[in-house]
Amino acid sequence: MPSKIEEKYWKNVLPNHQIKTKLSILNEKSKEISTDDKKNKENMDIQYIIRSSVVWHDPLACELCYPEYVIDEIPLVETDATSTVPTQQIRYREYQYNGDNTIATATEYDRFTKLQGCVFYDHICRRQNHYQFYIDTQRYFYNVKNMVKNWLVEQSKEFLYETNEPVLHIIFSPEHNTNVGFVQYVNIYCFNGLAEIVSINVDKQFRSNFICEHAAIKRMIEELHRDRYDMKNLPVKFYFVDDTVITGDTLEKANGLLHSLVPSSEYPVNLFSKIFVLVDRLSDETKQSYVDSPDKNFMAFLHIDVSNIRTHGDSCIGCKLEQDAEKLYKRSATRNMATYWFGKFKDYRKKPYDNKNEMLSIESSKSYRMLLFSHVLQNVVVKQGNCYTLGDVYDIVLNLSLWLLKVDDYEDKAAYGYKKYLEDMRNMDGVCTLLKTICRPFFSYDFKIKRQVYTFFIFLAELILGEKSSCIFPKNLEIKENIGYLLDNDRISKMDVLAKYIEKRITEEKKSELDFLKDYLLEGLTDMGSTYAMRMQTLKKVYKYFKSKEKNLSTNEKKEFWNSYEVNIHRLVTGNADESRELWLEYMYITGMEYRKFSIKNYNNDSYEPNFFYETIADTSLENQQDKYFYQFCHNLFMQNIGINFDGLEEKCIVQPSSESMDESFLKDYWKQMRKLDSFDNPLLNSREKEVNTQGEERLFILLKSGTNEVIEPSVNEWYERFLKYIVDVIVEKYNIDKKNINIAMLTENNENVEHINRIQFFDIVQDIVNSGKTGISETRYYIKERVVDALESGGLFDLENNGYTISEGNVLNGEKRPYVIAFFDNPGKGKQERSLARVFLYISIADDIETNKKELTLRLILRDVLMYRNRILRFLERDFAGEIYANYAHTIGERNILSHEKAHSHNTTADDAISLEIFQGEKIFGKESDYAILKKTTAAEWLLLRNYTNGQIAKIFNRSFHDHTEDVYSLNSPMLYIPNDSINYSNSLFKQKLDVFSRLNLKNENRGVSDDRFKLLNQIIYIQYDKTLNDALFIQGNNGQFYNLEYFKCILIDIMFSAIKFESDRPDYLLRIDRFLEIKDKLEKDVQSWDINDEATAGLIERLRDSQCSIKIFRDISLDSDIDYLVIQNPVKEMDNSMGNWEEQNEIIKHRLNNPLDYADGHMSLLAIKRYIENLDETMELECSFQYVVHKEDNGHEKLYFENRLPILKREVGRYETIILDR
Amino acid sequence: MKQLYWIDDNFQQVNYIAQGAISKLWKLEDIDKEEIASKILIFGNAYKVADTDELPTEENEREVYQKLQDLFMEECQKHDGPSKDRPMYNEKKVLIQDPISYLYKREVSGDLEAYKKMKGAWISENLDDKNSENYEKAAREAGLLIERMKIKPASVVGIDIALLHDDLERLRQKRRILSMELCHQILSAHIRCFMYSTEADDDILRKNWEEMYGSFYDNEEIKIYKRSDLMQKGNDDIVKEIDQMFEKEQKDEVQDNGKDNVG
Repeated sequence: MPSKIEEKYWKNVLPNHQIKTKLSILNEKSKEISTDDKKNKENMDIQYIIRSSVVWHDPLACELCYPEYVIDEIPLVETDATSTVPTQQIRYREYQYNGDNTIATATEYDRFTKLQGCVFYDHICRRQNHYQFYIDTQRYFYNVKNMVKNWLVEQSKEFLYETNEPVLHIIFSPEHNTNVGFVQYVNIYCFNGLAEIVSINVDKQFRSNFICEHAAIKRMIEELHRDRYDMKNLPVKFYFVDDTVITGDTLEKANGLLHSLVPSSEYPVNLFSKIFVLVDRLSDETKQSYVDSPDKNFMAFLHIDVSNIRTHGDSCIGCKLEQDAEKLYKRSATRNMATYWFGKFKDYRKKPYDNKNEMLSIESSKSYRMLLFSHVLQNVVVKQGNCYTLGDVYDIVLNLSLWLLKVDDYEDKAAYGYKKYLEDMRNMDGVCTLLKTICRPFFSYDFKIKRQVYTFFIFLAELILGEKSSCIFPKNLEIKENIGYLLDNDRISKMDVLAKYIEKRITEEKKSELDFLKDYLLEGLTDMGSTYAMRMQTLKKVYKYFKSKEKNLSTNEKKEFWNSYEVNIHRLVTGNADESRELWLEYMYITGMEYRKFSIKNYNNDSYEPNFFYETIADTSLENQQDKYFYQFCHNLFMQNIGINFDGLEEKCIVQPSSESMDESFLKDYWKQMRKLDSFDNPLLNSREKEVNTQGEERLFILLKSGTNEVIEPSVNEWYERFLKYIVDVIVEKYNIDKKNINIAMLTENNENVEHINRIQFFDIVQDIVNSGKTGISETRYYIKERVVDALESGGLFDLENNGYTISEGNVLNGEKRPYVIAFFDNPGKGKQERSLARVFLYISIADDIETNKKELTLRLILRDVLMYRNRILRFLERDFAGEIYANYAHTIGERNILSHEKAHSHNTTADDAISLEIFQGEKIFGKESDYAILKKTTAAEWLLLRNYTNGQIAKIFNRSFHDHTEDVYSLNSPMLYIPNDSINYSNSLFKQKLDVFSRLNLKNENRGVSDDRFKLLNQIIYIQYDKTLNDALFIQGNNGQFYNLEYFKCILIDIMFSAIKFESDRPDYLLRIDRFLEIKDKLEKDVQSWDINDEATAGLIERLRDSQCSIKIFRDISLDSDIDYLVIQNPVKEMDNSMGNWEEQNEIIKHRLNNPLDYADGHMSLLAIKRYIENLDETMELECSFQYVVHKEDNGHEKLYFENRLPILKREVGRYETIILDR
Repeated sequence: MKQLYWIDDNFQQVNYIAQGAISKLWKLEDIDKEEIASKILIFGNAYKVADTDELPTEENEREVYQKLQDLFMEECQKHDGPSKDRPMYNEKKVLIQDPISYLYKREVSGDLEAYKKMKGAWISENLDDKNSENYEKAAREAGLLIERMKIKPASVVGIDIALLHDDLERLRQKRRILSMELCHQILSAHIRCFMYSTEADDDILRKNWEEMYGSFYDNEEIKIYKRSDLMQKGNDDIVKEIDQMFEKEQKDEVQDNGKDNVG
């Protein structure tokens, strides 16, 4: 049966096997050629000579990529849109070829083994050549000097005296430092030192210069030719000597140059009669082009069957890895992943061979091991001809592994002839290197080899994960063409033994089984592009396996395991040529089923419930944080899956913005399916085809891709404003969430290193769009900052700092507060110390009626839409947030807001000022029918003066608290905030008095001589209560002995009293309150005398009047500091009708306001002024001022609300509280 | 005795009116003047910091009742002086027999549900279209609320604009709000009605609201006062205006009766 895709391409075949074609070009051509031929006139037919059956698979449901039994997987040969030739090695088997069964000799082994310490496995470049294995031939030469000497002497016997005629031997050697020793040796031991050495740098030499430089030789050659007479042979012989030959370029150039020394036409095209090389990595065929009869004339001290890397085109594996790492870095959505790929990108970058530091960092024993195995495998697999039949390579890997693990029963004694070479590798390291080598290029470029290695790796992984052989295969294994060969040669039972031995050896060698699985099997399979690691069943098995090993793992190991698994999947999905893998993964993530199963089961539903991937795999719900890293892994998988969306948008708005050709493209289909999945529509149904609106997304894409198309670049602020707005638009458009339900903010963390400041103050909001009717903008901003700090400090299930994002967890999702996501941006790869980019956070919260299940996923989708642009956003942030400039600017915006509020200057609101104007304009108010019961114009003026003066002073203190508190106050004309210890209290210098003892405040206006009528006035309406002993209480001093300024402290106290008056009154403005308290006092002192106190109602009224007088209580209270006590000022709060709301909530708001004053630029600043003034006396003081509502029980059992100001300013008296402290 | 109702969400704020317009309308300066009794009807949560469903208690109601009574006693005291007979108080104490009512109370079963239902109906979307299902439902809820108020005929009603949380925000977005609907339904029952608000100090805002009301309810006219004008240092002209509303009311009633007779 043809597949769905095939059906589209099938045509009916006419009876004479002619198939109609749509290729009009063919028709045109044939018209010209044979116009008369009736049959070909309209030539609609093509006749095929070879018939080949082709099967098309839907990539998502491909049975070869995603077979039911994972072991049945067949590698996918990757091509790209422009190439029809994939990176593939195809071998032609010679007729009657029996393989090269020569066994490595002892001499070869001796020479090879000396390579230890001279091999560097990395991406290394030397001039234009790139190496995967770079061999330091100079060092190698010194290791094998004696052997080289003997070898050269041996060689010279064979050729030096081939003829008796005089011959001039000219050795040509390229000029570089790594071949010097070898060239000398060749001259001395081969030519007895008689050869002429020509050594030049061919890259830099002009031919004319070369001729001039070697004019003597040229002349000598001419002479020799002149005297030649009837000599049979040519009088000059050329030899090419170098440490190694890579491309042959130098050799060819040298050949060209040397031709200018010899008479033309007499010498062959190829001048060199022999080539001496220390290390040879060329194939026999290549040598053929350099020299005649290479087996005789190409003399190599050591031959290694690991070819040099191809450098032409894009064939360097190192460069390809580097490019892939860069692509994956750019497509990393999480910070962890970005950091990982940035690291890899740096690692894969080519290293110059003469950079000592970098070369030394390459592990030499590993390099040697890799080279050794590459050499051995090339011989055993390719040269011995074991790469033509299915099962051969399988056996090699299996048998070698068993041999390396010393499994007696199956030991292949000879190790394919390389016993000696591998003798030292008979441990787990050996097996690991074997596995690493076989799954890498160039072995993995050979389809047949790759296919067997796939099967081997998957089989082994399944066994290690605890699967039984019988469950790994389908029952009808023998008819499976792909894996049927496993039934032969005992392969299955041998695998069982191998798996057991691997486990045993791992335990013996104290290695980690988990590491083996992760670093060799899963990574190897990923290297080859196998889907094994991303299959649902694999994930389940790995999770189960992980759980069984979890006990012995450290947190770091757990984290690392899942991180690396995540990297593997990211590479599989994003770094692969098969674009559909992302969609396949999305199906599994969102529906909980692999594509094929989903399509069958849910075909009839047009919408579906999203699935929690974590729960599907772990088969349990997340109750505690035990599986934190696996949970993160699940989330990260999802966050990473951004490629199709990105490509889809790019296609739509950059590549083909207006053309409709995208309708035809597979990409659009994948993109469409992806979008449907993400909006919980069944993508397999075509019936509910909605018109997709992507305008918002396109706008955001273009903004981030290329900034804007505008001629004038928007300012930095405008750009970020637009950025946030566009994100909001995308959320509105894509997820149907009302704009007003979205809050978004961009924050930076200021790097100021001030220890005693709450961390929340380091955060500044750069831009925000906050829609928060219920909590108020300031509170919302506080919550935003608090959540960011919380996410950074407490961690929770997500790790904001490492993963670069966090999502609100269950309790917030179900609660009243808005669920949120936070993304974090900084320079990955750079350490904290050297960071050049201020840390930037993007906060988004939504409130909507979406059911919780979908809400959580929607949040993640929103976050993913942002993280899709992680790299792009970073580019802009790097531009604007380099250093701390913009971050500091953001901080000053807050300060400017707060300082530009009118209250920061006079501390009076306009409404307050209006009352002052009553003195001048309020004729009626103070007239005959006065609105005041008691107040007369003059007393009112006194009260207003007191308030206005106090407010003015508080505003000054407040303003000064924003400047650096260490500023040199002496240099200013303004009075000192704190009075130095050595200054003298002159009674006439009002702003230079020290506050040393409580009685100096004279609150009850009792101390004669220092009378202060402000307190006389206040005492008229406030009943100030304090214990007399408080009079002797001493105030603390700063670390330089300075005191609080008495006048400023009085202002603070009066400000607190004004607040008390407000709290205790039920009148709407300041003067009405004063008037009312005066009235109450007056009534109680005078009128009450005439009232009928026997009348119950009147008696009650009198009682209530007494209660409603204004009072404050001042007392000392213990603090946690052994030297300091609090001075507490407490006043009752009139709370009618619960209009105050919840006082505990109010306490929270006060706390937030003081912790994060910049976002509360609403004028309520006196508490902050007080706090800063009190706390700044001594920077080292750890105690803080606190301002809060408290409830106390009255004698009658009723609860009463108080407001309490606690100021840590009293010196503790000796002996006081000692017993209390002991009790504690 | 004329009856005036004040519909507000918060006693603290209406207490300022009690110290101003309400006590002025008692007309305690002259024992013979016909006084106006005020009844304060309280429900809603516009004044609260957060949107809560917390209902006040009977204890709260008693406290504020005491508050009003004390205010009344003190006002009378100014005229009665040391006289033990307290003529003014005794003559006019009927004014504060029933001065306050919380429309939904914590102790009364079913109140919380009714309150939530009413509130839910008024914070939902799409109330602007008068034919929408949501508006019909919300209007029904407003009707039920008016029933709770037990407003006597021939009285005058003052309504605070913001009764529910975010009402001002809804107004900013030109959306229909509960207080306006109450006003409309009360007016439809031929009872005089005005509105007031703390935020009405802004003249432009106030004018916009008046226009908005007209646009919602077929160009019906409404008067919106500033709360500050109703307070202690307020505007006596407005107090007079309210007083005159009763006279108009009476005239209207006479006319209506006349029409009935004709009919």
